Amino acid sequence: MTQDTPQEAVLAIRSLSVVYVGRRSAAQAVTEVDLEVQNNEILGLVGESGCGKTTLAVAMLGLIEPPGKVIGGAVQIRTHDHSTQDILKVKPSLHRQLLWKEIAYIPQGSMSALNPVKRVREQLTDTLIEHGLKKNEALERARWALQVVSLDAAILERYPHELSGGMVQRVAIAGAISMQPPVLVADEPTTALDVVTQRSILQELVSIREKFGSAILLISHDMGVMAQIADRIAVMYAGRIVEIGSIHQVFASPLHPYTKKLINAIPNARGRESGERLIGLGGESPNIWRHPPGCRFHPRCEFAIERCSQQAPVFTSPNGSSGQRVACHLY
Amino acid sequence: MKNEEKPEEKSFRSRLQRYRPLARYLGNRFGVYLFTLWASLSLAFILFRFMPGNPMAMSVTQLQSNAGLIVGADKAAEYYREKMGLNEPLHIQYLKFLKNMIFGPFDFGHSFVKYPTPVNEVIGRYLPWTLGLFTTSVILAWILGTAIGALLGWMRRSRFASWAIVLTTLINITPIYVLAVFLLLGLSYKLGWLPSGRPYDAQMMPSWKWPFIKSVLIHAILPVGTMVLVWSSGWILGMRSLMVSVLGEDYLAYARAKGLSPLTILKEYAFRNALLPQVAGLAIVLGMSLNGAYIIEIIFRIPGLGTLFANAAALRDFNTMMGLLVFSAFTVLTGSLIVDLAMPLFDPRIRRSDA
Amino acid sequence: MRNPKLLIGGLLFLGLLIFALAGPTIAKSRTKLKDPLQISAYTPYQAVSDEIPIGSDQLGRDAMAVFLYGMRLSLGVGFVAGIVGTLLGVLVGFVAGFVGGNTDTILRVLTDMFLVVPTLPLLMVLSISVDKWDLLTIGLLLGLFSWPFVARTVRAQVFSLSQRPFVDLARLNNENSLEIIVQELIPGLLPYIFLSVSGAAVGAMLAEAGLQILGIGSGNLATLGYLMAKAMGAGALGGGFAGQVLLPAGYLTLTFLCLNLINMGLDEQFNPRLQTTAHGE
Ligand SMILES: Nc1ncnc2c1ncn2[C@@H]1O[C@H](COP(=O)(O)OP(=O)(O)OP(=O)(O)O)[C@@H](O)[C@H]1O
Ligand SMILES: [Mg+2]
Repeated sequence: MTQDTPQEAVLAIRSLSVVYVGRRSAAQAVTEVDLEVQNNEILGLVGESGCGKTTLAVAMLGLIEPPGKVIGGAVQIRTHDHSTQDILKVKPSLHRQLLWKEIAYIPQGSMSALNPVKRVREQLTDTLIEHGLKKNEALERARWALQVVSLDAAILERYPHELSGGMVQRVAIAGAISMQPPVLVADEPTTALDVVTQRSILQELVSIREKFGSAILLISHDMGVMAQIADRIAVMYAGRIVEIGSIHQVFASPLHPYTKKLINAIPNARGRESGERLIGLGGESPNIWRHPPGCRFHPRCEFAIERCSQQAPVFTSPNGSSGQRVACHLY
Repeated sequence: MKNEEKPEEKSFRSRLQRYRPLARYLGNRFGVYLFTLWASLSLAFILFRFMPGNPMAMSVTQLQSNAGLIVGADKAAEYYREKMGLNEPLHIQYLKFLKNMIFGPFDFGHSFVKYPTPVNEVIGRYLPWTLGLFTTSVILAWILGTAIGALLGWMRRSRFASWAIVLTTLINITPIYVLAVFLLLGLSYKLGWLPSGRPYDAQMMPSWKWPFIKSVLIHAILPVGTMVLVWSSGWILGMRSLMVSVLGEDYLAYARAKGLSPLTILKEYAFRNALLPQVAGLAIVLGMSLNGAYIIEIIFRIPGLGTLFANAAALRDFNTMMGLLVFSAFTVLTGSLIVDLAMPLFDPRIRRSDA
Repeated sequence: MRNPKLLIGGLLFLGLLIFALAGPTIAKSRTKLKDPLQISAYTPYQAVSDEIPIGSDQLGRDAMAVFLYGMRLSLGVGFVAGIVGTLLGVLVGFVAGFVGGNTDTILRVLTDMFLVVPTLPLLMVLSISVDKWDLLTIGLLLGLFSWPFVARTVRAQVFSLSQRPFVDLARLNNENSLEIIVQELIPGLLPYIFLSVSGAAVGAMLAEAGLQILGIGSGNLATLGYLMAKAMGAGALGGGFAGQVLLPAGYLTLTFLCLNLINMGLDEQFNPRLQTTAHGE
């Protein structure tokens, strides 16, 4: 285990694996993922569409549903009262208390995350009340949370269809921070929003981190977003983490060939046109039902050596104990 | 001055604006209702004039030929020739017909067979049975079916639920009269648990006294039970699949991520949302249900509109048939309208605009 | 065909169909009468015996023979009504979805009207003026009432297809968008069309029997519904003629079961929401 910071991690994912069960076989959507999120940091999780980011996020909340199945691993969370709980093992009633209070989720595509037939007020306060607040406290708290994300309290009486996409996203964030959880999981909070709104939402996340010291796991397929606000970054490919390091390390000296390609694909970075995006990676995109043997990236890797197709690489830290680690046979 | 007035006017306006979609929805529904009602009336009119053999004219002739057999038949024929103005131009006949419908209201003239009782009165005599049994069954079936369907949808991955669905499907595809016959044969003829074949005890006289009411209730168990069984199975299947699709929605996954208790999720997120199409469905099936109710009346010998219809058809009492036709349509359309008008209570998207 | 519902439903239906078609032959083989359906061969509602295992009907015919002939008639009524209803429904739905605008509105109100208004009373009124009560007439009459569901589905499909970008593109390029829609539509619509034929057929068979129970129909067209309704009217259930009700009821129910199984199977194959396991292996 690396120890980048002296602090203990608020969230530690240990060797987590998730499959989707089919008729005859199972698809490996997330495989042996190890991740630690430190107090007060924004950890970015990047990877192309379909690499398993949402699956990982849902799994760490303990909410995988059939046909999905967690086949191994643990998700340890350090709670407000400094005890450590394994989200995947606690009994249901405690699990529900941990959610939202200790670890809150801002779902991908929040646009459809709100119940269309309930007012915003009801959707915020019902959860607060179930987490132990009194009715008027809950309402107070909901008002406060909306204010934090720069929304007018009048929003409370609205129905979701009366809000804009950006407003809905903010409501989702307001909900997630209303109990000031130590960990926030934000799944692509800015996709489907215009650039200006995107920026202000990201700003909102940064200020939340500053105000409450929450750790944020920020999921995105957009390296550009990461560059803007993440402290550390984890790169995921075909269900595995392939590289992890501080934002400076990863951008200045990416190690994994896949990370390099991701960085090169950032629109307008290094003078490239936005035309060459992730599609420009070449080769087939991974099929989770049939991963190649050895390193999952080797069929698309221009540096692949013989060993890559035979043996799965393990993590190494080629640059010494700087904290940047990579799973690649080249190092 | 102007500047002071404006904000107030604006806020009033905007408050009104907010309810515009609701007003439009209600207006729309009511318009369609009136139109459909008018269309049904016109269809009835056309049917009864243009059916092969022109039943209206035919029935007058029939009445005449019956003169002497039925008391007052000759007088009736005379009366009708004049009243219906069968020799008048068609558009005059049509306008008169509409006038009788609207200002009568529903004046279909006299029953041929039970002359000189007006059709209205005859229908009125049979109506309580149909209205009582039919309404009870429709509502009971809907409530039961929706509740059970919601539970089965909630337990969608359990073995019990999948077997329950198989059973429900079996009941659902059994024709209502076949089920009626099976229940009648089993529970009434073979086991003798429940009375059947008449609406109440043969020795009793209709009244509002408890023994009579009790007798009616006991005799109603089988017909109502049959209707509820068949109809609720449809609601169960519908509600289950609605629940299954609602449970796959993003807002449900989010509700779980919020750590809400299963009961809250079931009640406030899944059920409430799946309920909308289920309510809307009620407006659509009333007509089909009435078809079934008429058949049930015949099988269980209940003196309701279905029985009256069958009698009128057998005796070629066209006035009564026309009355029943219009009245069936009216009942169902009004029922649908009531359901439609209640929809905004369940769905804020109809109620309010994008502010 | 990997779908068990489709397979079982299909095979069973085939069996029922063969039974129905073979009915008259069977009837002839098991009687001494020249015409198995001879009227007044027995006294009406004569008690059950070896010769007439479910008794005789109200015209004094061997009820078993009536049943054996009736299967074919009932299926025939359903088939004619199913075809007529589907053709009408596809036509109305297609025009509504494709032309759009006011035509669509009018057709939609019309469709909803037919959906909502109780059809049995209408059918009763219409059918008492039918003087030639034969298979084709009744099938046609029932078919006239079974199109609204089909029309709805087809309209929705056509409408969503005509909103797709490639249709717009075709319009811009002055290509014949009708042709494109038809080409794109037909393959996707085929299962629905089968669904609707069988749905309309089931509805029509139900309605036909319903009409018979309401006392409309004639001995000329002795369908299963006719046999059942007349027997029920004569108090067959209490009087030892339950077979005259149970046999036709059983056959009809079994037919509905098969058609429903087929429909459910088709639905499962074409509706991903109903699938329980992950896909993509
Ligand atoms: N319910 C499911 N059944 C079967 N396979 C699934 C299911 N949900 C996800 N998958 C598969 O698991 C893989 C990972 O999906 P996931 O949603 O986690 O990707 P993602 O990285 O979040 O992608 P995106 O950036 O598009 O959101 C994909 O290949 C997807 O097809
Ligand atoms: Mg995702």
